[in-house]
Amino acid sequence: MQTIAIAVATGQELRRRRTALLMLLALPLAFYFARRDIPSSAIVVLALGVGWAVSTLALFTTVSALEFDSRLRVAGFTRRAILGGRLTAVVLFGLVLSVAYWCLAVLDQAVDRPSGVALMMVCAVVVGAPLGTAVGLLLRSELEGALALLIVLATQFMTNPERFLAHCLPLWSVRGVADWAIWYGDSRDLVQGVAHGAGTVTVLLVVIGVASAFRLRIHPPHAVLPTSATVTSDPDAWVGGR
Amino acid sequence: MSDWPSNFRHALTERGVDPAQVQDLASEALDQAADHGLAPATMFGPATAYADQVARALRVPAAAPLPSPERSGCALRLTDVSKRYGRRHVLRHVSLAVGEGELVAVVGANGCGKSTLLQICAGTVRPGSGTVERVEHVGYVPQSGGTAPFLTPAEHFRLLAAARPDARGRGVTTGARLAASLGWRPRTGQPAGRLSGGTRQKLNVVLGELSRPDLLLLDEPYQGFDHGAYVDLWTQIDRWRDTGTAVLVVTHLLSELDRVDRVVELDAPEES
Repeated sequence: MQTIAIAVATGQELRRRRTALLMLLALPLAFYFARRDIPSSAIVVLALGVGWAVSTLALFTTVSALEFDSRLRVAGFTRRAILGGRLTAVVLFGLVLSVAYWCLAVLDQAVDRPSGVALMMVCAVVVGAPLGTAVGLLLRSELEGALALLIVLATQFMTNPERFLAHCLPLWSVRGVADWAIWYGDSRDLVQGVAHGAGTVTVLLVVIGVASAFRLRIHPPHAVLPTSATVTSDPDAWVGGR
Repeated sequence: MSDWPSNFRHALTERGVDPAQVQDLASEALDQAADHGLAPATMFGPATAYADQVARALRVPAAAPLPSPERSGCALRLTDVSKRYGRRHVLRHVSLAVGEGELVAVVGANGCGKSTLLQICAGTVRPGSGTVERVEHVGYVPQSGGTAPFLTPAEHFRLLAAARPDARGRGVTTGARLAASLGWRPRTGQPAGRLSGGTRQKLNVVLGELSRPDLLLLDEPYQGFDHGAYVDLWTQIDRWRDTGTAVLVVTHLLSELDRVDRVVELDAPEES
């Protein structure tokens, strides 16, 4: 219930950040149209752009909510509910974004394996959301976090996929699945890509768990004092009605 | 002033008066002024100040007196609490206790650790040494970061109410009533970031009391309040106290200290 409440509230917040959303919508599109003359490459950078947009959204959502989340913790929300709710909202947003871009890719390009393109987008979203959250919890600053994402994701864009470094970067799963979906690789490429995505998400969730244990920590009192049963349970008793 | 009626209506609405009643009140005031051959501003003074009086007069007193609580229990006890950041001692051997139905004020110079003390009580900061004992259910009104700028007041109420199973489903209703007791009627669809500083602070206070805590921690809760809201807040604080809630309030307004049960003064910070 708490997780759903946080996810709904995060969705409501995202809905009101229209300018930021337009910018994030534009990011994958800009990448796509920059490479549109090279069809296979265009779809890869489109998916990487979705991952970049989603991770940036998760970063800003996490950092901007840190103070308020402390209050939510005092009010009784669990860390898992807060982070789970925010991640759920960002992932859902990313998946909606992905559907639109998947339609663009399939309609604008000759795609033999549309399900593979969809899987690339899902990898980008599912890895991008915890990536942004982890960076936000570690750095606690929008500017530093955005620069950190820039370093990681720009390196992802520019590194030769054959190099070991490319395999160590968080969105390599998108390239791995692209080998199967776009460049007619065998199923081993698909399995490797998905396994990389699953492994990356696992590592990121561990980082989030550890970082949030510090950032959203509530120190319980040394002893809980009992309350007299005298305080009214009726909240309206506090209120001067009209 | 020609804008007096519209300013009066606006101020009444802002202070939580039923919109259906606002027009009648404005017409009544204008008729009275006309009967005396005076401009409303001359007869009643500034529209906002008069609306403040009217709104407060319209407010029905709190619910029937509660059963007399046995306030023997202690809601918060700090023993020998110290805290330092680097070489700077923010708190040094602070001990205090707040009983149920008691209002305690924390005062001291800027930087003496008033907010840190409240954060330690709330559990968001760990004391360097000493012990903290308190009741389980705490309401906390922080000095900053207490609201989410892109959520409306109703969305805040709904979200905070989801923290506790017993409060779910009635967050918006309770929040709206608590807001009215501070002379504020939240507008639908207006995010917190677009509220004035004082109104945002009212939202901050309402969120702290929404789940009916046994211990309420207030960190300079009246920032940005106009005089009427300030009076309403102290009335509300008295009500919390009367219903058995322990209240610890950080304040720098020494003129209000006669209203509290006890005052704790923190020492100025020291470098070591």
